[in-house]
Order: sequence, then structure tokens, then C-alpha cells
Amino acid sequence: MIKASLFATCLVDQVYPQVGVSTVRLLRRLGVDVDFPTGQTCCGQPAFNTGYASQARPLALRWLELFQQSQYVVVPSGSCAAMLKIHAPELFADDPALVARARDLASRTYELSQFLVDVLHVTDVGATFQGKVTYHPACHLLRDLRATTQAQRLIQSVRGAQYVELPNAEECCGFGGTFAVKYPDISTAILEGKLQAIEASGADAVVACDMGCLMHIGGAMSRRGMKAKVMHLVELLDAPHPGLPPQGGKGG
Amino acid sequence: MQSHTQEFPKLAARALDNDQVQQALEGLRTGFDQARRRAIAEITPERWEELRAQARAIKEHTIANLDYYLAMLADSVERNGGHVHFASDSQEATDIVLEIALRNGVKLAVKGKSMVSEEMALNHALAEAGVEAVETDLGEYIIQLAGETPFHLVAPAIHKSKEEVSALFHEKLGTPEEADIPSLTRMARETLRQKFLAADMGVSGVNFAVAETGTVCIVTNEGNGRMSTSLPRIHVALMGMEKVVPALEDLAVFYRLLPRAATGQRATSYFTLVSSPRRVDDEDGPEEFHLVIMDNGRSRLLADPALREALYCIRCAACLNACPVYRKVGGHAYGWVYPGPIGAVVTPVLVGLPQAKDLPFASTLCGACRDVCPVSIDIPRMLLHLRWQLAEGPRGQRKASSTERFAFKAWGRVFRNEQSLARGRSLARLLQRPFVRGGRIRRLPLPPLSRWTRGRDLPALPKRSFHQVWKDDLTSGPFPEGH
Amino acid sequence: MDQSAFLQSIRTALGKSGDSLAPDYAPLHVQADAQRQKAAAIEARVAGRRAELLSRLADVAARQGWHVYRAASDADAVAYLVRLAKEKGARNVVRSAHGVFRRLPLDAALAQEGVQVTEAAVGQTGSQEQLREVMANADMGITGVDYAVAETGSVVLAPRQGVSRLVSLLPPVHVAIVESEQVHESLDDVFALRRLAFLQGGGDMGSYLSFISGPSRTADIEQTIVVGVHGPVEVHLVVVG
Repeated sequence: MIKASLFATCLVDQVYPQVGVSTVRLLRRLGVDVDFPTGQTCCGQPAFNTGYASQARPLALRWLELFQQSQYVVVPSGSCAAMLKIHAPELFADDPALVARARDLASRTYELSQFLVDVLHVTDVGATFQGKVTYHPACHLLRDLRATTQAQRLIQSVRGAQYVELPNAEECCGFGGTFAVKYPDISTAILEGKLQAIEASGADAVVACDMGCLMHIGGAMSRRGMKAKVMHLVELLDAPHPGLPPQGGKGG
Repeated sequence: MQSHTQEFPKLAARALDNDQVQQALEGLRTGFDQARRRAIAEITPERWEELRAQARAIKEHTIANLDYYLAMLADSVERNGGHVHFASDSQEATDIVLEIALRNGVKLAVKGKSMVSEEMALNHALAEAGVEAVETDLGEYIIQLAGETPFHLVAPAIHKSKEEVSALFHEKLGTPEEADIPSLTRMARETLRQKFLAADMGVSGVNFAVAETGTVCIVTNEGNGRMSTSLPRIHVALMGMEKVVPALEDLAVFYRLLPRAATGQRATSYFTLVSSPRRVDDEDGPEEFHLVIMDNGRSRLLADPALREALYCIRCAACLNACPVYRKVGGHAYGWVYPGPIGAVVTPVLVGLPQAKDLPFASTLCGACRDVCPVSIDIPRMLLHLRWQLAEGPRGQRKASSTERFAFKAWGRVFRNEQSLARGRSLARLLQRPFVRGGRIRRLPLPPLSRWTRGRDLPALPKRSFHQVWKDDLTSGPFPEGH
Repeated sequence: MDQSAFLQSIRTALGKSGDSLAPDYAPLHVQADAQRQKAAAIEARVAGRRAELLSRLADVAARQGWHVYRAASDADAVAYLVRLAKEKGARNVVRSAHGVFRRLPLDAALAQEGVQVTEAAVGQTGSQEQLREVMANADMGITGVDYAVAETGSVVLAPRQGVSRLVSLLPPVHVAIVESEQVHESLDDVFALRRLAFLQGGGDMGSYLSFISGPSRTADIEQTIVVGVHGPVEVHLVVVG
């Protein structure tokens, strides 16, 4: 039996726990033995991306220590997975042994959609959803982790869901972590294009693999009363099982 | 050029508010960026990747041996009868050009596009010395008339509407009002033709300089590059020191990449290779050729292994056209010669990181620039490196505010382990209460989060963290009741 | 700053101490004999494929904005040029002294139509200023070429005695006459041949080499393409033999 440890990410842990719940339920339904090393906090990205590598290093070390026994580490966030896989090992450049351990753990660390398709070799998870679904490929997942088809294939296997292409899908949504509060006007100006694309797609639901993007996109959509539901891919894949409702454009 | 890099937030805001600028910037996506994609599709993505790898390898080798190849280049140019001048900074370069101009009684200089000359603010210096310097690239000509700086590396006046250009020409040249684009171009052709024919000196940039043969190469479409290197009796070529390539055959690789990446062309109208002044039997051509090789801070990029690859840049501007930030704030916001993603790296290092501390942060790190770069420069990585320098780097570069440094130290302490995070969470849940409506927060009073809520709602922190939910409901597998 | 100080600062930046060993870069090690072999291999590759290369040249050149005319014969080429001159109302034509003009009776044919043809050479016009004057007033410039490149739809001109840089630049119309044996496949081939010439000349690249791949153009105003900025507005590629 495949064993996977969940790295929830701080956004999911603190703000969107239902994404963690859906991840655990989905993986268990697929026969994965899921655990959650408690005590985890964050991958360190907010500090690292702002230049505070010394604040990110202890968090990378924590990941290394908490997950070192894990067969797989599954991360429901492209940017967090990229942080762990690419940058965390570099934070230990002063210590070759740590670098080796980090690279090894990184090789067993997967973003969720990549884990489902590339490791479990699953695209049809038995989910159902009525309506048009569009997908925003988060930048780190798309470009750093080179995930170009996994999420789309998972969505297209959802019964009842009609996959619609998002126009100019590969354009950044404008979140960029601290960028969103350092330069909020540029951030929301970039977001305009993404919102227009979502509107143009006619989608009933917009899905992505990164809650940072979705918090930003969803935050603007709810401000404007846009109708489409905003949800993490795993919430779509976990539907229609009862439980916490997906984060939506209205309510939720 | 004088730098206004400290004004990034103000200049960016100005651009965001300017509908004409926004329209022009949006046009880059459907224009140059789209053309680039088509051009790549024509030769196939596989072939494009092959060329990128070849180009990268050439640049890596050359820059790692820059002293050797510059020595070879200088040798070759001098053997061919040209003069080589080395300038450690833009002031030295300007002095060299002024000396050449004044020694030769130059009254009128015609200029092709040269970003190095923008670093030098050469036109201004020439004017002060009594030399009329006329920009001849149409985009540069427009901004010269307008008294502005370049907005884009390849198309300097792309932010201007045809109405604005028409009004400008009418004001400065007395040409008819409300002219269309072909007429405006014709007017420029006629006006500048007279300048070409009368000029004493032609100044050009350099796209590539071949060390073995002493050949400087200029990639153009308009013909002004050919004019200014053929008609006046003196040709001065201005070159950033990183532009050297070892061999003639290297040009084939770069000439396949540059036109496609820049404007989606298979080949530009002209590719001009200058190796020496006119020979005795030549029918025309300059009598004197000068190559000015400039550092102006590039050795700082060279010295830092993390930043060295910024010197591989071939100035195609593909990164500008692909950048979500540049496509909102435009070239003037970056405050100096080099805007966009490559500018966010090069400008701070050349003008001083403390003065340009916004630039490395003016990016979402989306990586589109790295994807489109013909030489595969990892710009996001370099931006992270500069951010680190600003936050935790050597004393002279550290410019992060003490508030921010304190905030991240505090953040580090809170996120150190789950217990401290849980305590932080309780506090945050308490503080958020007055602001929560229907599970959302519409407005927060204090920065940084107030900057978020200006345009977006924030989710309220739910009662239970995932840690709590796990403990309560999920520890016993496989599929607990109610879930 | 003098050269040695400049180069020293680069060496310092690179962390190099002492003299740098010559780096190993294969293309620069190819000496004249090997380069000659390369050139021979290029010719061998191209021999027997001229027709295919000409087709490709014609196709790419057309897409680059050339008006392409494949002459059925020398006479046909001359007739095309005469027709073009008439169409453009050309009264003054300048041409280079490329070898192709020794085989095409162009001057006579144009003169018959009242078109003045001047060979663009100081020897012909008397002085530099007069040469420039003639070219600035010419309605059309006609040149042969030194190479044509199918890959990019380009002609390549090496200015020298009898080949002015300005003939293909100042007049509003430029006609380039390409002889079939001048067509090459790729940029690499042309650079290889030029390097051979460089080595054989004892390290002489000539003064100038001009690749022309279409009419003069710009997209500087609103990204709108306008043809004919400072260089020729119209370019014709005539392929003979």
C-alpha cells in the first residue's frame, strides 16, 4: 500500500482546512495510507521570496525532519511544492549532508495533481460535478514543476463536468505572494485579465492547484459578485461527497 | 541617463492610470508576443530549444572567458584599421565620443539605436558640445522629439498612439495634423534622409561583435543602421562589453534567435557586418571606424556568479512582451535604460541596488520571462538573489526597512512550530472579529492587509485549523463518519 | 581606461589570477585547409540541388516581402527589368558592377527606353559627391549579389570596387539579380565560406557585408508594419540561369 504524508501548507492549514480534508479523503478513497505529521507549519516561501532566506531555512529543516520517514510527501500547492523541491535544498548549501537529504526528500515530494497522475496513475477518481469547469494553471506548477496536463486530465474525467479552456490560461493571475500587498494596484490590474478570461470562458467553476492564486482570484470575484465557484482542484475531485462546502464565489 | 528608479511606485501608478499606455501595452501580447510564438512554431519548438541551448553554450563560454575574447576582438579590429577604445563607465565613453567628434569637427551626428548610448545620455552631451545628434530609428526619433526616454527595448515609442505621434510631428516638424501611420513614416524618411546625407558622424549600437574577425554586427529593419554606417565619414560603434562572440559561425545561431524572439521575424530586413573602415577601392564607406567597449557596471554582474547570466542577454525584449508586470506598468516605470524583467536585474546592479530597491520586487516570479528568453536566462532566480541581498545581504546593500525585517523575524518565530502558530492564530481570530461578515473580510484598516482589501475580499480564518480538524476527525482512517 | 587595466578588471571579476590560458573553442581551431574542406563539402551538398534551393529561396524571399521573378532566360530577366523600370516611371537607374551585368545586356535595353543607367562607381561618376548625388536621385538601384541564402530569403553583398553600399540602399526600389550558382542553403554555409575567404586572405574580412532580407520596414508606431522607412520601399529578386 502506498503511504503518503500530507504537507498541508500554511494557507490550507490556517485558512482553507477543507482543502486538506478533501485531500485526505480523496487519497484514502484511492487506497493511499495518508498521515499528517503534526507540528508542520510552512514551507518558508513568504520569507524566502521576500529575501529572508535565514527565516526560511529553519522551516525547510523542519520539513526535512518531520517528513524524513515519508514514502511520499503530497502538497496541495504548486508554489509550496516548488519551494520544497527546488529552493529548500539550496538553503542548505553550507551543509552537503543536508543538501543530499533534502534532494532525496524533494524527489519524493509531489504536488497533488502530479502525484495523482504521475505516481498513482489515476485520472478518473470517480468524482461528479454538473457544470462547466475551467482551469487556471498556477505559474510555479506550470513552469517550475512543468505540470502541463495533469490537472486538465483529472478535470476532464469528472463525470458531468464540461471542461472549458480558459483564454490566455498561462498568464499569471497577479498574486505573486507578497507582491499582492507590496504592489496591490499592479496586482489587481493583472488580475483584471484573468477575471475577464474567467467570464469569457462561461465557466461555472474555476479550479486551480494553488490557494494563493485562488484566494486572490476568489477574493476579487466575491467582491464583484461574480457567479462562478472558486475551488481547489481537490475539492472538485472530492465532490460530491458531503462535508465542508467548497470555497465559493458567493458564500462559503 | 539619470535614473528615476526610486520613483517606481509613482511612475507605475501613473502608467496604470493612463488608458493609452494600457492599450498599447495590451497590444504587445497580441502583437510582438504572438508574432514570436508564430515564428517559433514555424521552425518547431524542438528546433527552437536546440538553438536556445546552442546560444546559451556560446554565451556561457564567452562570458567565462570575456577578457580573452575582448583582447582578440580589439586585436582584430585594430588589425583591420579600426580604433578600439575601452571605457570603464559611461562618462569615459562619452568623453571618448566627444573627443572623436570635436577632433574631427563634427557638426551633425546621426544615431542608430543603441541602449549603451542611452546609458551615456550621449545626445545630451553632444548637444552641450555643439554637435547636433539626431536619432534615426523611427521609435527613437519620436521619443527624441518628445523629450522622453525609451519605453521598450526594441520599439521605444510603442506607448504612443498615432494621434500622439501625429500631433508631435505637427508641433516639431510642421507636418500636417492628423496624419496616418504610413504618412508619418514617410515624413520621417524625408526629414531624416537629409540628415543622413549631411552627417559627419554615424553612431551605431552593436548587437554582436565577432572576436576572430573583428566584425561588429547590427540587426535592423529600417535601413538607418546601414545609412549611418555608410554615409558619414566617421563611424562610431558603441558596445556593451558582453556583446562579443568568438566566431563568425556563432552569428548564425544568434541571428536565428534574435529576430524571432524580438518581433517574430524569420530575418530582419538588414543584418550588417562592419569589419573595417572603407578600403581604398571601396566606392563608399566611412574613413574612420571606432569601437567603444563599455563596462559601466557590467563587471559587477560578471563578478557575482549568481548574476553573471544577465550578461547573456541579447536585448530581444521577449521578456518585456511576456511579463505581466511590464505589460501593466510599461518602460518608464523602471526609471532607467533597461525596463522589464531583464531591467529589474540589470538596472539595480548598474545604478545601485539601494536606489532601485523596488525593481527586484516588481515581479510575481511567474517565470514567463525565463520561458521566452532565447538564451534561457533564469531571471526569477536572479530577482530572488537581489531580494536576498536587499534583505540579508552585505551591509551596503541591505535596504529592507527595519519594520519589514522585524516583521519577518516575528513571522519566523510564530511559524517556528505548530504551538506558536496556534497561539498566533488565536490572536488573529480575535482581531479579525470586528471585520468578518458572512465568512469574509471586506476591509482591514492597516497595511499590509489593507492593501489587499482595497480590491479583494479576504477569507476569514475559520474556527478550526486543519491541524485541529485532523486531530478531531481524521486521525482514524480510512474514512471516518461524516466525511 | 587602457586596455590592460580594463581586461584586468574583468579577470578580477571572473576570479582569474595570472594569465588566462587560451580557452578551447573548436570553431576557432579550424585552419585554412580544414575550412577549405568544409567549403568543398558545402558545395558538394548543394550541387545537384540547385533547383530545390532556388525554389526555397523564391518561397522564403516572397514571404519576406521580395517581389520574386524567376527568369526563364537572360533575355527574360532583362525584359522584366525593362518592364519594371517602365512601370515605376524610372528615368535614372544606378547599378553595381557585379559580374552578372557582363552577361545581361541591361544597359542597352534600358537606354532604348530612355532610361539613364549609371554604374555606381566613383570611376564612372567622377567624384564621391557626384556618385552620391546620382544615387540619391536614382529611381531604382540594380545589383548583382555575392550570395543568396534560401533559409532567410536573403541576398548578401560585399561592398568593394564597383559595388557601392548605397546602390541597394538609397533608391526607393532595389533589384537584386541572383545567379543560380550563388544560392546557398543556410546562414552557416555563407559564414563558412566567408571564413574561408577570411583565412585565405590572411585574416581579411573585407570592410562590410550586407545581408538584405526584404524591404525596409518598421513597426515602431502602434506595432503597425509600414514598409519603406529609410531604405528601399520595394525590393525585387530576379533569379537567372
